[in-house]
Amino acid sequence: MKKELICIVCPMGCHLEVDIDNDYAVTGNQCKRGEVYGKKELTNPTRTITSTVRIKGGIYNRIPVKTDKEISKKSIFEVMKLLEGVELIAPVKVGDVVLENILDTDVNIVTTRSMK
Amino acid sequence: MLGDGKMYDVIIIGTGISGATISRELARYNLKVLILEKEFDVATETTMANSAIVHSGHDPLPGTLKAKFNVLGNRMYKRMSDELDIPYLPCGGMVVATSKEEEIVLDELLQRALTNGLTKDEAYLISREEISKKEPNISEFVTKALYLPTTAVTFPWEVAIANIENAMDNGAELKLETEVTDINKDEYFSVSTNQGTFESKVVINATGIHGEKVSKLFYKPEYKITPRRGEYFVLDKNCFEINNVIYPCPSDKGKGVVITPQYHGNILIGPTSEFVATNQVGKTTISGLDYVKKYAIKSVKNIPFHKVIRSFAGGRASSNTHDFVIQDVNKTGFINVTGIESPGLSAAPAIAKYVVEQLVSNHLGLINKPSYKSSRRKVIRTNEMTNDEINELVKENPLYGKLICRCERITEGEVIDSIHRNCGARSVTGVKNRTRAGAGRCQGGFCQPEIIRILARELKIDQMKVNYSKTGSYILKSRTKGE
Amino acid sequence: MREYDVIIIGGGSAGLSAAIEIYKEGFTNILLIERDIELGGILLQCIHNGFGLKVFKEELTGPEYAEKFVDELMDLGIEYKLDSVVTKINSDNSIEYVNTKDGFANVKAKALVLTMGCYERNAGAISIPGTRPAGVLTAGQAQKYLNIDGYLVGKKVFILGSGDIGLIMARRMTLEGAEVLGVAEILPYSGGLNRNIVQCLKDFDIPLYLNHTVTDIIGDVNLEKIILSKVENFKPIPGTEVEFEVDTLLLSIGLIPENEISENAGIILDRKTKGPIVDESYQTTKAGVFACGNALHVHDLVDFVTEESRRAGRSVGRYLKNELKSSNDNIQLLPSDGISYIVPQNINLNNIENKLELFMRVTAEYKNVTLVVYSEETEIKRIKKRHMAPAEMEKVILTKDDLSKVNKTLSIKVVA
Repeated sequence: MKKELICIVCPMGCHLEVDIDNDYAVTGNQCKRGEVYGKKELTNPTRTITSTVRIKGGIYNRIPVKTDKEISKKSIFEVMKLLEGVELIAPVKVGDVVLENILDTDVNIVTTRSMK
Repeated sequence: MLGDGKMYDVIIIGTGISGATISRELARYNLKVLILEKEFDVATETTMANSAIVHSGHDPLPGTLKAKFNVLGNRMYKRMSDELDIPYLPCGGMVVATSKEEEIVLDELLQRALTNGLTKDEAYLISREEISKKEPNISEFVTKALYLPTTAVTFPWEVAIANIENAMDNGAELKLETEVTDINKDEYFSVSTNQGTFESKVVINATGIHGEKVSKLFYKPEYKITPRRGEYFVLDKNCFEINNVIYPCPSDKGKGVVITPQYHGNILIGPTSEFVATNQVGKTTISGLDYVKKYAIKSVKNIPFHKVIRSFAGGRASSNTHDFVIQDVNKTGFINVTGIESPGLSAAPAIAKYVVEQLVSNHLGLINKPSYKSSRRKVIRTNEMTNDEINELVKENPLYGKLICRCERITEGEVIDSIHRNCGARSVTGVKNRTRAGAGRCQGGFCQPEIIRILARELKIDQMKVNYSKTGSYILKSRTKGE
Repeated sequence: MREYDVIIIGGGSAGLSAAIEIYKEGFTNILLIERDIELGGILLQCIHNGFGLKVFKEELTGPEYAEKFVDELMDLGIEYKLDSVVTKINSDNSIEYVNTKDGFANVKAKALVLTMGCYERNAGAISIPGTRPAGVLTAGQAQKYLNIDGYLVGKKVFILGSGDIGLIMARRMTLEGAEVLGVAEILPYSGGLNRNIVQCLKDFDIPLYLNHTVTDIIGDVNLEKIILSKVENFKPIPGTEVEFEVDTLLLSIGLIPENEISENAGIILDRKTKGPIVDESYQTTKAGVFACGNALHVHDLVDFVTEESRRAGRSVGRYLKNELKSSNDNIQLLPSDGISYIVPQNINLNNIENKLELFMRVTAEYKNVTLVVYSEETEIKRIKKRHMAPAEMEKVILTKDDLSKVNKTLSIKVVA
């Protein structure tokens, strides 16, 4: 069976066709990453999650964070729940690790800006 | 709930243009005045959404209260605007004819104007050539016009706010979010509200489209009020040249679609005229806005409708008596000032004077208040000042150097002042109405977060409790996860 | 009055890159003026990723991208003013600004760079019928309230406009626990990147209603309902109305370059882009005034903003060295069939060093077509395109060789 997908790896948004019965062979991609994505999206879809957490003593009350690697798409709301309990204290540097190895993975939550 | 047991001389119900001007008129005298308003802020209904024109008095039928008070009121506007520091644009106006039949109507209007008391210098016919000189964008259909140089444009809500502020400066009390539920009279009036009961010797019903409903709390009125909705467009500042108020030849439904220049260079186009239920007066409709577009282009060509920054609708209180309803009901001291549709804005100062001097005076002695201040504290408008003047201000108060609204050039100092004056702003729209912050082309896109922050800080409330406009219209509904 | 070589108006991605480039060209007497309390511009509230794939070959979030440039600017010691709003451009290219310390002040410059970014088209501009309750905001406003201040503007949301900001906010609000009932788009195709359709809508089963628009706003104090209607040629089709109970309507209906002070200074704007008309060196119709970034034309990717601002910065350097030749006879760029606009709008071939980069948008969605670049009767270049959409800016590079074939005008059209 062939499935149609739009690749989200880069803003090109290539229209991919993935042949599930043929070891997830991918056509329509313009680069190697698209080929990897096509297979992965149908077997183990992952996403980067971006949100904000609380910060005290900074110029703002919230500071943006992200997962430093893609994490299973199924975990999106679990990750959001984890972030609720976080409170940072300013000053903070971009890339500081906020939570390590979340949900038994090797993914960390890191800040995406410095804040005084 | 208990009232505070205070006896007032006059209770005014309603803070539109009528209630507001009456409150200021009463403030001249040693009288205890209480003003009641059911909404979160003053002047939020008819006075907020109308054509903003101070008509010359050419249009009402001779012999009506509308005619009498329009002409008198028009003559009082300049002085009132100077005393209360209200922006006032004496731009002049013209009724344009686009056919031979309409030219005949112009002649009739001219006669009417003169009968109503305008002089020959205040109403006269002008030719196509003279029209073109005044209005380069006049449409090719226009042949002749009735020129009315005493026509002016103002900000109706600023007029109301300034009048109430002045009344409060002189001792009047204002209670907002206070809705009248019942009115009884023994020796004195007992006015019941959702915030308690108040007593007075005189009650003034100045409640606009609710006029009949409020009258019914006291007696069985012989008049009926039906709201008439008008829809409008607002064009961006300085994108199109219009120098005068341009009226179409009138029909029996109203004054027709008018094109009106505004003080800061915006253009107001409208209104429609449609009888609707009270709860429909604030709705704009596709058909209504299309109507405005269709009829506006008869008078004026090349209107840049792609430069519209806002559209709105408002209701006017139309009485089945086809005139203002200004009466002391059975000489009880319950004074109706209702059915105040056009030319209500223009007539207001004259109506106020009449109501106080001819009607209230029958119940209360009018003793001049020696401490009466006819002016309010000048409003600082940095967008009308020179840089040197502003820099002097900034030395004392740096917040006059913090630009909050980029589109209209309004500073934080002005926003703060608008909050702390009497009858001050308590909502985002309240700030907009008093300072113009948020009234520009980005419609608050840039400044709204700052306005909310400033209101929360100055009123000492949480940002989530700052209203957009009406009671309970919070913009920030909840905190993000993890707060 | 202090005089600078260059004043850059706006400290977002365009202003930062232009400033850094001009500095590297050897002009250190620069001033960057920013109205916010810190540098970075709109990127600071764009906490999602997708930035930097071209410029840094890695995927960054908006704040990370901004910080790289802010750090570089600070390291170079480029002078900047915060919390200061430029209010006027004078005829001698001096500018007037205001802040709490200096009040209104004037500063002189030999050259100016307009990098003010853009503002959002709002509800007032499209006259949505109905009432005006609380709960109707632009997507960018909601984004700022949420990501910077930490507030949600509502719990049940509908989004009008499928531009990227709307799609991003559909996801963001959903992650924060709001229910997003749908995104409506008046055109037959989305205005946002495909990747956003997938990871913002499809991931969360949020329906996309193409060929639809909001035709009524219902609510007295607060928004209570919206009515969605199908459209044909932008006109609502009677009988197709569907009601949605929502407390929030977010608008993502377009971005407009911020050019009030440019217009007031007599700088001529392009009717299509709403940004200044510029030549190959990004110079506007006012000598010494340059423009780049979203203030010039609205971009889809910040990477293109950076590249454009670097090009503009280099041109400013050449201008200051008197290396730019002026002419009254520039070649006009003429958008033809299927092309909405082209930036730059005119070119002086004598100022082109080795190649010319043209940026344009098409007027509709196209599949398997060819872009034809031509000068009157002479065809200069043909480029096959598998897929083009108005939401995706296209680039055409012309070499000196290509340009040698240009006669009086240069046109681009789409052919089947």
